Amino acid sequence: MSGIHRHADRFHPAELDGAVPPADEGEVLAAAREVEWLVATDDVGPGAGFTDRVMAAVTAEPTPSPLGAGTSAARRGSVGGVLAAWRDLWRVAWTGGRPLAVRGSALAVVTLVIVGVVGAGAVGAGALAGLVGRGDQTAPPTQIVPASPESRPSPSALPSPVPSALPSPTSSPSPSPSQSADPGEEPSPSEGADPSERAEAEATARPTARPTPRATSTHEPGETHHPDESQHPGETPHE
Amino acid sequence: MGPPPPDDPEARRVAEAVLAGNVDLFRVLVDRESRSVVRTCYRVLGDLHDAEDAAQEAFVTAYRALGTWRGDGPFGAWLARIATRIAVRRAGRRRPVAWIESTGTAGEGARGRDTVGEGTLAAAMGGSPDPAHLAIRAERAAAIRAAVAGLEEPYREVVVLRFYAELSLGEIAAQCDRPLGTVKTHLHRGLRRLRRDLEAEESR
Repeated sequence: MSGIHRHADRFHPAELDGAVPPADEGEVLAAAREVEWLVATDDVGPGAGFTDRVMAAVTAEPTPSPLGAGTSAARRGSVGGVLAAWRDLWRVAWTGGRPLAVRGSALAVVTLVIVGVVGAGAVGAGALAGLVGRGDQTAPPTQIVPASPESRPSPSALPSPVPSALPSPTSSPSPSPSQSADPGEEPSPSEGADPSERAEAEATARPTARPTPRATSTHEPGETHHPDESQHPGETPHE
Repeated sequence: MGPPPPDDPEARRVAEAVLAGNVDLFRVLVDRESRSVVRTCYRVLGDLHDAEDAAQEAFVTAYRALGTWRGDGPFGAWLARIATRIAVRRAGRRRPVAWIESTGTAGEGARGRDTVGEGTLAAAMGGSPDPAHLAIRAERAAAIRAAVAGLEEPYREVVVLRFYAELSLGEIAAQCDRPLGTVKTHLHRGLRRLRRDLEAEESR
């Protein structure tokens, strides 16, 4: 006899109280009846010796512990398994309902890992700070001097509209300072941030910014999207 | 919120003993749950041999992770979720093939594929199974299985746990760490999509 609490009743839309609009009731009920028909027509059970086979497989396993899953995942090189085991360990350590010994060992492991990670982080940060400090000492001072106006190309190198070819005031207006600041003539530090480039970047970025509508993967409005919906191997024990 | 799932003190005692080193006591849980786990896996896979393999994997997985079982609900509900995940993953790995057998029972020891309750059907038909009916039924069963397997997550998980594993919505909510309202919405949408998929299959 199974120990699982069985939901013996047939499905009824009232089970979903309020989640099913009246218009959908027929559709939902028809689907439920189809699955119930499938379920009602099978009456299978394990063959002889199933329990023995399971127990033989179980006794070949190490004694279960929250740490065991992480160790075996690490041995397999499964990063996901290790992360899932860590999540399980954390849950076992901080939530009740488990035997004290199991919880205590999980808490000890969690504490050890946290101390180890914090310690390694502190050592790493110290080493990084040391490297940066040494880099500052050895760097030539000229490298940190900001570029002076003298380092710019001299105006003489630029085509000058001024001296001999200066048109008379009567023939046409003299070139204004704004004309000499033509981007094509004098490179400016802000050339890289040319608005046209930015516009181009925006133009290329725009189509990808819009999500492509996909009917199959879009959640329907009003649905509560739970973060736990993704497949987390750690939700249930990972194999 | 619905009522919280009932506790399972027997399984909790056994789990504590197993975690303390008395591994043989795990047999109590295997004996108690094996039938429902195999049946759940069979409903997903449609093949008893595969179902037993999946059920065995589920028990071993549950044993490895016994320390993480919270013990605040039925052990069987926790195990059912493990089993359905394993079965669904196995079903997704293999190519769907419907084998139709004209004789045999789907009861203990049967090894047919998609022999959905042929013994039951034969009994319902007065002991004379009509091969044509059996073929139609097996085809229909395979179509339903395929439609359920083709549902997207999280709808598939909720439908499988509710109908194949026969868990209550409260148990599903507890096992999946989701609000009951979300589980209801997922079941509603899952069933609606299932109906449309089956209708599309029929019209083909």
